[in-house]
Amino acid sequence: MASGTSTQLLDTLDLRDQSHPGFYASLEEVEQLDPPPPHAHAVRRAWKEMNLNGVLYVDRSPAAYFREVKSVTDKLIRRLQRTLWNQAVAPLLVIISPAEVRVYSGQVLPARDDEAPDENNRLVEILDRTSDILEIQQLVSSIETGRLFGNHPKSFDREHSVDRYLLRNLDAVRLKLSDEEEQDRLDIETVHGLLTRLLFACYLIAREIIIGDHFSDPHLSKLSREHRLGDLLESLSPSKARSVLYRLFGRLKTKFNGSLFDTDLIKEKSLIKDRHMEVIQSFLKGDDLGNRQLSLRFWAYDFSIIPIETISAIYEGFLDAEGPTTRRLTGAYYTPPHLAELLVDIAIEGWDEPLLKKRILDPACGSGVFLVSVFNRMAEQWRIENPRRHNGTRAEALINILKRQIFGIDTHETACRITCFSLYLALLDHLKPRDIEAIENQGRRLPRLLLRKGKKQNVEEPRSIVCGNFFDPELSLASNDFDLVIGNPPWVSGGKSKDPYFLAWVGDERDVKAPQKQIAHGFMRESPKYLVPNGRACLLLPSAVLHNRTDKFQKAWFQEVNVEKVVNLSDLSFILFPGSDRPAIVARFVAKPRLPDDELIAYESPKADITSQLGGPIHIYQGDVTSIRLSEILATAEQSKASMLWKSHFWGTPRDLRLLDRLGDMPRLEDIVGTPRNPKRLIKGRGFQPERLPTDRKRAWWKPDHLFVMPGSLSLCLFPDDCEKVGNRFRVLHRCPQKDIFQPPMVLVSEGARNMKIAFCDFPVIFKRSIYSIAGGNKDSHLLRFLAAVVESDVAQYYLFHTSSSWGTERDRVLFYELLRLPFSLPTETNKPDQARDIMEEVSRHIQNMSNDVRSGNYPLGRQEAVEHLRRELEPLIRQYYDINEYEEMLIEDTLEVFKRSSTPGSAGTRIPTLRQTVLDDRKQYVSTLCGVLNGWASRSKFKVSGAVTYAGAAGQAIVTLTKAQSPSAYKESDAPGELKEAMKRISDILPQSTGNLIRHRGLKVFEQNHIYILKPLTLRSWTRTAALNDADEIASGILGRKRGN
Amino acid sequence: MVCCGDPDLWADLFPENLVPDIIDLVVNTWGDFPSPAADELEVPITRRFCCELIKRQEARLLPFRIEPESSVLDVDLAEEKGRIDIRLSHGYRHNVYFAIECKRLNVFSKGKRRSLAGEYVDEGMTRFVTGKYAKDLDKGAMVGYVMDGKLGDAIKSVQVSIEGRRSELRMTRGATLMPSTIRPKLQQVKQTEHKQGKTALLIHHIFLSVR
Repeated sequence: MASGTSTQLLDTLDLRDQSHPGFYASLEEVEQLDPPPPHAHAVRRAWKEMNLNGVLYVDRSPAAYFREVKSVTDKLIRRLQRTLWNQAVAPLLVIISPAEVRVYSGQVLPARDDEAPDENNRLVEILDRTSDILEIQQLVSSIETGRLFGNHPKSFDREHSVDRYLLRNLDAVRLKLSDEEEQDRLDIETVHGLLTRLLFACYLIAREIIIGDHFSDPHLSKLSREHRLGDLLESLSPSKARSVLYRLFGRLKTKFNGSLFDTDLIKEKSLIKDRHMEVIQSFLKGDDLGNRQLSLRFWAYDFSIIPIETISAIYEGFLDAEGPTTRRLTGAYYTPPHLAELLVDIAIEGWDEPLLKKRILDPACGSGVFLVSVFNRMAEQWRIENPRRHNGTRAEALINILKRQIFGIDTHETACRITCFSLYLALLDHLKPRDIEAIENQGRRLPRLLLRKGKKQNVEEPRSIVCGNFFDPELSLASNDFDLVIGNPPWVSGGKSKDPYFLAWVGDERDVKAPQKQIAHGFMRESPKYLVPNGRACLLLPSAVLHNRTDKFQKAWFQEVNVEKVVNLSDLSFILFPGSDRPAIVARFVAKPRLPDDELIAYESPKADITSQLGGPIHIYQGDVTSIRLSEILATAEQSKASMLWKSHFWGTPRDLRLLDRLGDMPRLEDIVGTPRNPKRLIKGRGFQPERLPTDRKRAWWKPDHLFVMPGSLSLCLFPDDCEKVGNRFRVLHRCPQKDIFQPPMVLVSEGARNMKIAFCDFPVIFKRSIYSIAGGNKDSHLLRFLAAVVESDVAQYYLFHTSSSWGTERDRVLFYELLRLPFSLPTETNKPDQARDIMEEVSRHIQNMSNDVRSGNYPLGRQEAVEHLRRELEPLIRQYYDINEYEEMLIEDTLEVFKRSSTPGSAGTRIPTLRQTVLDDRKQYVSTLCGVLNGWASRSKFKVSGAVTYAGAAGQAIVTLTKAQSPSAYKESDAPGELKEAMKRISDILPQSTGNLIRHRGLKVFEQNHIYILKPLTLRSWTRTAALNDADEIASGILGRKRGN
Repeated sequence: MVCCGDPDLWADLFPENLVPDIIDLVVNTWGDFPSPAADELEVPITRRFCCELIKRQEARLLPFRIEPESSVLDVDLAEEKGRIDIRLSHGYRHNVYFAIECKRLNVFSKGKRRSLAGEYVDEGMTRFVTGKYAKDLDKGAMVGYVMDGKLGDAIKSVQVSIEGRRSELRMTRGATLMPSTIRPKLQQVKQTEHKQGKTALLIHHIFLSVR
């Protein structure tokens, strides 16, 4: 809290009381925090560079910098906003002048020197200190609650953040240097080597580790923080610029040595032509060589302030760029820096011993982004533990950490070099230029870290970054030697995996060791080998490792290791992984003998919100946290349903799980669907596959006037007019299933990229493999029409949303085998067979009638309207068939109207229904549902429960007050008085538990006499009817479980 | 969820802790349950019966998740304590609120009728009393499937068996199988009281006739 160093700041922003515990008014206050908050190093640098007067942490993550000024000038704002953008740590800068309070965004590209800094949404808000006093006093609260970000989405676009901008810029440079259409194209390794050194030089110059005084060369002697490399090279011809640049590289090689400069610079220089130098000069001048719309047209980067983690992460893009084929084959993807930080947070949470004492291994280190994050934290801890040690000691200690505690493996030498480079940068970043000079003078230079491919460790001078294959039994790295194995192993599966070591390791145990040859599974199985007893592994993995059909693997792996926690990041896919096509999970596990079954595994599924969309911390609310029993995993894996277990716990609340349990206990569609070879009442099949290979000889059995249908035409029922004559297409086929599957009556299904399409069909029609059919005999017409209606119903959509692997986590897609798991009873299998038969026939009649009307042209509505109208008519009948009660209807409707629409949103600006601020009707409905359920259970009691809501809009919080009395009272709602607002704000600040980039929110329920008070955020997710049902269960649990001290 | 304050004052909202609702659920579901074969074993009967319980509308209105046979772990000893035939747990928590142990009574085997009342006590009730399911569980239920439909005989046999094992069952002197205080009108529902450490344990006994 503020120590009072700046009275103007504290008074202006109303920070004098204790209501904003995350505000610090001096650097000393920040530095005294133990454990050090994330980004402590970066905040310290920003404080000095920007001459700050305060910093606001929200949930232990820097949210805003504060700076007081006597007057606002464009030049000053331009400089500060540019620094803010470069640092990419806090998204906001608040400038307090005598007349105004101005808020600037760090997620808008910086202004050129001739551009007004307030334009292009850089200026988020401007508040007059006389007329906007109230708004100014609520400014900090609006940052804390995220309202400010939500109100100004155009000011917060992560596509404009420094890491993504620089990444795009480097991509463009790389493409130009390695342009395949040019004769003098450079190979990709040369380009990477060149760019790595180029940015290293920029960094050293910006940090004044390299200055003009170090050179006798007349050009290089002009180098300074102000006269940058770009300025220097711009004035020279390409040929001269090349000579100067390689002279600089030569000097760096002598000065730093390490594993970065062992390339043959003379040979490389000979490959660099004038055209290449022009590209480099253009890049260093600030030209955006890629997206012209986003061009800055000046050198905006300030490497003295860009966090090393960002630079390190950017280099991971180099690995991606070894060509799309390489990327596909190796599975290496860009790991954004905040994701790396998040993984480290999860890895070390709850550890008793300090990180400083640990040995860390990243088994697929890529650019070293995780190792850099861990090293920075270790260095910060060393600084806190050794406040009085002189700088030489620090340098030695940090070098020792690099050599002895930070280890990485990668198959690619480029990756290993980049890791070494990133670690060198991180090391230098913690040292002052004069310390670096001292190291150089003592002849120590940078430590050699890289062990090249095929080389053995030298016991005298072991290397920590090992170029080798994790699955190589001869890998030169000791087993059982690390406290933490952390990383983002490659994600590559199926026939794409060409890694011979991995394939040899898998052998013929694919289902158990690595289903679909997913290499990430291999890392899950092999990581424990490197851990000390009780050591931890924490891996970022494709969610497919749990969500796909990996039952045998899961059964083996969950018994081999002790999985402590799984964090499913699928909902944040598009935010955390720009460009990635697959969602991710984090699995943290311990390599100790497993406990007997029933051990609980924590399962957290955070959902996107405004702060995570901005790259800020990820919030985990009560509804996102559950635990899964190991015995459940093993039992469901035995039934080949483990993926459903993980998926149902993803969006499903405890109430949903009860409904899903019930539906899951019903007979399934697959029970009555066989194949032509193993027929059941119905048979399934897949359409034909046209000629694909020159050897294909199968002749089509149909005539040219046979009807043919495409997936887009499927919509509840199919008419001949939806089809076309096949003509002479597809005369030769690659695959052609039996004729039976093309014969009516049948239901046609397409998996599709979006929601599944389905239609009943009562005439023969052929189709390609993108369509499946479920066909029956004439007696099955009612059943099949009913099936089409069921799949289109909300009940089925609800079930499939919660159980299919991709929907709501990746792509809105339901696979055919997942459809076959749909609960589907025949009337005779229900508790009321006669009623069920009547419903089925009625549904079938409705569809038939509509079909007849449409065919005869008597239907007044258009096709889509007709289907939608019918669907609405049939829904109550389907619900009755499935015996859905009033409360289950609420769950179904909330899932489809709120949760489904909120899943996997894009970046800032995407509207997320769960985050909508509630209105009176929402809150009233919540209270009505909650009290209705409680009073239903209290039917034998003389008391009834009624509810009221007190809200504090500015704090983003509300209190629900439930009162037990003999006569219930009507719903009431009121705005909280000032003091209560403050109290609500304070409580909501105190409740969350933060571990860096991960904030765990806890709800609060207080039993007091005849009242229960529930504190909750004002956003819709907490006020759905689903939330009311679960809150009622929780209250009942509190009352019924009271005797056992729960 | 941070829960504070004293929920005791809210206990009267749910008289008898919703146990009458659970007993009604069991009895009513059995009324509509297809009668098992006379020689059907306990496990398949219970599995089917549990599925029927989950499906019942009354069950879906209660604040419990009903699950079939599942193991109970002793966290301190890291070992399995026992298996509960039917468990009712709170939605958010994995700890058991109410456990139901099922046993067959009056079974025909090899042409002879066996009461199995001894097994009902030794392998059923004892598990509650010894804290096999949960140390702090203060209530639970035994379900007896009376395979020959003779409820009176079965209840009497169980009563005799209980009286012969009072000390193992930690019952006070003279204690026996008593009419249910919360469902006194249902002759097939009884109860017994036991000491479990410093707390009392109430076991409800529901005898279900296989006709």
